[in-house]
Amino acid sequence: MTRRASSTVRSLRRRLQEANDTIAAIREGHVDALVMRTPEGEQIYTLRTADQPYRLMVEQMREGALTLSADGTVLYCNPRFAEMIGQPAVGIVGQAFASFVAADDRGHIQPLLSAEIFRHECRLLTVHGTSIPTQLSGAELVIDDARTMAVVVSDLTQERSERALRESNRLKDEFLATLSHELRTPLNVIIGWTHILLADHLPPAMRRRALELVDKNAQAQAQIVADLVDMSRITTGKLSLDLTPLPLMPALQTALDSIRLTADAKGVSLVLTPPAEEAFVLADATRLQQVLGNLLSNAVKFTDGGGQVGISAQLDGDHIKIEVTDSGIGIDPEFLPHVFDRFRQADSGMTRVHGGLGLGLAVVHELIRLHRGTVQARSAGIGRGASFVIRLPRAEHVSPEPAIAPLRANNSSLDGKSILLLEDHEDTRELTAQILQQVGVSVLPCASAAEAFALLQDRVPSAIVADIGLPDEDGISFIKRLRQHASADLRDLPAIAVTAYTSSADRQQALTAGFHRHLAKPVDPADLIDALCEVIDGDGRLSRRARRGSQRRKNAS
Amino acid sequence: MIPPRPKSPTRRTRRTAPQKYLLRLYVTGTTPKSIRAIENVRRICEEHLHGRYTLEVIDIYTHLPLARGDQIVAAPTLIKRLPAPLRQLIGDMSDEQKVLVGLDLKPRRR
Repeated sequence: MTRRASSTVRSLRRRLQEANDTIAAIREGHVDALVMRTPEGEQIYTLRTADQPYRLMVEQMREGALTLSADGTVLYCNPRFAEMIGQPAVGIVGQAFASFVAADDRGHIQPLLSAEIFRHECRLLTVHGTSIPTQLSGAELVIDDARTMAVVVSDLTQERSERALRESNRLKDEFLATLSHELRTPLNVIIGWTHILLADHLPPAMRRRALELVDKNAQAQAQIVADLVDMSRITTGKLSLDLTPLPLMPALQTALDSIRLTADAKGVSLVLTPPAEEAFVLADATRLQQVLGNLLSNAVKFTDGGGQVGISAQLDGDHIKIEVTDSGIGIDPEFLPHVFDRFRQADSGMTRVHGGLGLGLAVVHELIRLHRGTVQARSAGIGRGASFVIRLPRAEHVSPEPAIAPLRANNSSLDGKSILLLEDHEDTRELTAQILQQVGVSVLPCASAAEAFALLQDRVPSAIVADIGLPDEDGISFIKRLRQHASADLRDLPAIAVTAYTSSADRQQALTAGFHRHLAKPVDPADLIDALCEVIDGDGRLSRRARRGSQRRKNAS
Repeated sequence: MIPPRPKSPTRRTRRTAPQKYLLRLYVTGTTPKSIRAIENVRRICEEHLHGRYTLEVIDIYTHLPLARGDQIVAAPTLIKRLPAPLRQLIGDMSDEQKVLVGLDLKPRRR
């Protein structure tokens, strides 16, 4: 045989062997699938157990999986889908898929069943009566001319909550940017005018104007800080209300008076519609003023000159309805559901026309909630005004508690008194000393508790004004030690805490430790003088009334 | 190990420039025998053809035209496309000796 012929024989033999091996492999079950040539083209026939991995994949995947018949009957569901619905698969297979879809979304299901492929978000009903947001991804499956639909169901609950988290982070970033802007704007005015004043080239008339501007902007900044502190107290649950029956009319009148100056300056007219009869509302006096003040200043802020802002009250069963309306720029219907959200403003970003932090209405909402009342915003749309409706519990008419007459001793009662001033911040010490000296007080300044005790060995002042945050020994420890002092004169000394620790817990701590008053920084000079007058008797001793008052009166903070 | 066959001229050339193997394994997704076939072929190739083979794993469900071209009748099937001659093996490739013979890496027993 030639070399070439023998090679052909070898090749043929080899191919024969391969054919035999193929048949043997199929016969012995070494294959999972056969490829058959049919008139319609190749068909793959999967052999027994070969589809196990697919089955397991569908059974174990984290998404729900279904097959539906053409009329929407569930033919198969995997364990995850049964888990989502909250009942075993036997209760699901054979049912209409639409019966597991929330009523509002049910109408959208039937048209999807005739699509080749679809993606659709809908809510599914669980047996527990709750609903879960899902995304359905469907694809037509045609097997032997029978048309079914394969559907993968993804639970969007987590995705939704992540989305909400991202949104709230975005709002916080936006808020910080706004906050920074709102703090810098008045700061710019304060620093600018202060420099000009220091240069001392201003004519007297301009000096007055400059100081007014510095004062106005400092007040604006103080308001921002107060709003922030309130919001933080509310969200951390540290704000407690002092609910008392308050006569309605005076409350409305006070709120209106507080905004009158701003409204007049802008040319906005104010209208008060009183209730049919005088009634009492169960509220915290300070907080109610804050709520009404926020709503009214908002109304004036968003109303142009010539417009009108009104406040009205009505009795409504065991509630009182107070409505603040304006003829201003109105609220976009899309923004309306978000007006009470924290940090949210209709015009954010660089193009905003109106200042503010976007906290005012959030504070209103939370305060009203704490009062067990409700607040609603209404607006017919942009340019069509807005109204805010508050409902607060009505109080039974009670004879008013005899008010503690404020001991408004005139400032001259401080004349010639000496006061120990314990404050470590040098500038604040100088400022407070100046305020006190202006009413004739002689000030004994000291920067630490040790220095104060040294001074007290030689002299007994009429009262003490002390900071709380101090180096080495804080104001709380100082006052505790003072109250245990061997000398009765020192033990009973009237004392006022002036501090930037302003929470109600801080206040309580200061009063418990032995202070008679707790004033929050920034402190209004007039409040400090008033407080001193109240705690000092004519003879320099602590008045009994002040002692009692310190327990009962709520601090202006 | 490959027994030396000094007489064959191809042996000599392979020793100087090792022949590249082009293998194609037809499977049906992740069915049990297909999974075993993939694992076995990879192991055998790494052991005997390290660095000089390309293995294409092809799912016949998604590449039916390719399977048609290679005249595939069942899966798993391993095709040796290069070097010539074309060879095909059926099954899960668990018999290593048979695979080595099929790939011409071992002489056929007489």
